[in-house]
This record gives sequence, structure tokens and C-alpha cells, in this order.
Amino acid sequence: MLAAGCATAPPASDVAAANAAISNAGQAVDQAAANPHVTKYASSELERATGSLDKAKAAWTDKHDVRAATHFAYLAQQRAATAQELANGRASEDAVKLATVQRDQVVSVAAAERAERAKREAGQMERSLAGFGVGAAKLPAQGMPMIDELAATLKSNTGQMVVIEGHTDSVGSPGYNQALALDRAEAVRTALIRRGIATDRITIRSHGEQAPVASNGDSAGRRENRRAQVIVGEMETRMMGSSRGSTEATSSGGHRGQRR
Amino acid sequence: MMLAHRLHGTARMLAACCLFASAGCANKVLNHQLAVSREAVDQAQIAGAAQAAPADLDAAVDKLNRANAAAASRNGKDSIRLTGQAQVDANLARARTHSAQARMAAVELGKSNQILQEEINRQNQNQ
Repeated sequence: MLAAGCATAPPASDVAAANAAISNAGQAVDQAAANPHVTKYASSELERATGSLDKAKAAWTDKHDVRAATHFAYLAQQRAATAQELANGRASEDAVKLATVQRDQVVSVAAAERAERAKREAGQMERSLAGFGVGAAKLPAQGMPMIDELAATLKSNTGQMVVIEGHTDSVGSPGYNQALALDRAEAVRTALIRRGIATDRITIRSHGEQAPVASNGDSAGRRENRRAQVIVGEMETRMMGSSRGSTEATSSGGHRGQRR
Repeated sequence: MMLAHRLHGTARMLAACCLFASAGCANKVLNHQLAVSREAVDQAQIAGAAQAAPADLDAAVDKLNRANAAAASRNGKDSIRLTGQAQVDANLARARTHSAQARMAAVELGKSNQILQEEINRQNQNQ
């Protein structure tokens, strides 16, 4: 107490200036520290800001050096602002990356749509009949209108051929699924024959579990994958659709022989 | 008496040497800090701070000039503080510039994605 009394008290203007500078810098540092992007992307700049703030406080409380205190407070404030800007920059860079990914998605979706349109223009039509029961090849009831529509199209376009590709989800062994997928394609074929479509216009194939259109990780995705895809077109059936990894059985080829 | 005088002389010379050495050292530090500040200002200018963060860049240039003036008038303490302030100002100008540029790039890309999507939608409708 005595020592403090002996020291010359700093002028009121210095007290005000130092307190204001330290308080403003402290607020800037606190705001930066509260920004999760700053702690993630600009932690070293934030550390430098905190270090300068500590020096400012020490210069004032230990020595009442108003010039040193305001100097270090200024450094702290600018460094806190720099940390904020560095973090903003990184956040914007992330946004740029995301937008680039979105752009690629838009472009690839558009390309797929264009390919689909080209198929249509070439006289091809593709329909997917999803929702077969687990382990079942019986046509799902909601697929019947699609079968009727397909049969009508084939009847009015006698030059068109049809390829039916069966698919399964990933549950069960690949061999079992290969056979099950062929059964599904066969079920669609039988339904078309019952509606008066000639056997020799129809080709069936099995892709087993190899060509999913949705994730097999959840039940909705597996349901999408338990499907038959029907491709109708003007050309040779062998030319249509993909045959990658498929078991092919033409209507005249005794496909039942492949079943156990 | 003579010996004492000579010792005194040696001590004086030694003291003068130390003073000279420490002054030289301080000069070295100051010159280094002046160079670092100049470099920070240059980097901010190269980044495009004159457009994106002119106020911060001006502050940095002003402090660098004042630091040089203080150094010339042998005011080492002021000069070294001003170099420190010039550096943080220049770094802030550079960070602000980069963040503004990245923000603009994100906005532009978002806009162009939207235009692309609209164009695709329009083409699909025309089919």
C-alpha cells in the first residue's frame, strides 16, 4: 500500500486510454475465440492475439506503461481480426469445394438425362419394376399397370423387341441371387406372354446382385434393388441393354435348364 | 595512480565497445523488423489488398513509413513498435483480401450452378 502510494499515479487520460484499448482488444479476442471456425482453422493466429493481449495487460498493471499497453492491445485486436478473416476465408473455400461437387452432380445428372433421351429418340424405352418381395419372384401388385402398358406398347409396335433384366438386393449368396434375379425376369416374361406377346420377342437376363440402383444398407434401398428392368426397342435384342456380368437366356434357349 | 588511471581508461574503452555492440545489435533487429514489415506489405499488395482491403493496407503503409522515419531519427523503440503494427495491419489486409476473394468465388460458383441448372431445366422442357 505504501509503495503504491509512493509511485506517481498515472494521469487519468492514460488510465482511460489503456483501459479502453485493453477492453476493446479483449472483446475482439473473445469474439474470435467464440467462432468455431477460428478455433478450427486459425488457432495459431488466435494464440498470437491472446499473447499480445496478455502483454498489454502486463504492461499496464505492472508498469503503468500506457504506450506499451495500447501498442500490444492494438496488436491483439488486429490479430484477432486476422484470425476471423482467415477462418472466413477457409469457410468460403469449403463452400467453393461444395459448389464444385454440386456442379459435377448437376452435370452428371444432365448427362444421364441426355443419354436417356437419346435412348428414347432411338426408339428405346426403359421401365423399372421394383418392389419384389424378399426372396420372391412373384410380380408385385403395383407393377401390373406397368406390365399392361408394356404389353400395349409391344402390341401396337410389332417390330419392337424386349429385354428383361432381373436384379436382387445383396442379401443371400451371389449364386442364389443370380437364380432369383432370373426368376424375376421370367415372371415379367410370363406376364407379357399371358398378355399375348410372342415368346420370340422376349429375352431375359439376370444381373443377380451386381447392378444395384440404390444402397443395400437400408430396407428402402434393398426394396429398390429387388427389381426387373424392361428395355423395349426397335433393334436386335442382343444389342440392347448392358450384358455385363449377366446370365443370358433367350426365350428359345431353354433357360429353365440353368435353374436347379 | 598511473595504474589506476590506465585501468579506468581500459574500462571506459570496454564500456564504449559494449555500447557500440549493443547499439549494433539493436540496429540489426530493427533492420530485420523493417524488412519483415516491408515484405508483409508487399505480400498484401500482391494479393490485391489495394482493392479488397484498402484501409488496412493504407494503415500498414503509413506505419511502415513512420517506422522508417523513426529509425532515421534514431527513435528505436517507436520504430520497432511501428514495424510490429505495420505487420499486423498488412497481415490483416492480406487475410481480408483472401477471404473476400474466396467469398466472391463461392458466390460466383453458386450463381453459375444455378444458371447451369436453369439452362438444363429449360432444355429438358424444350425436348
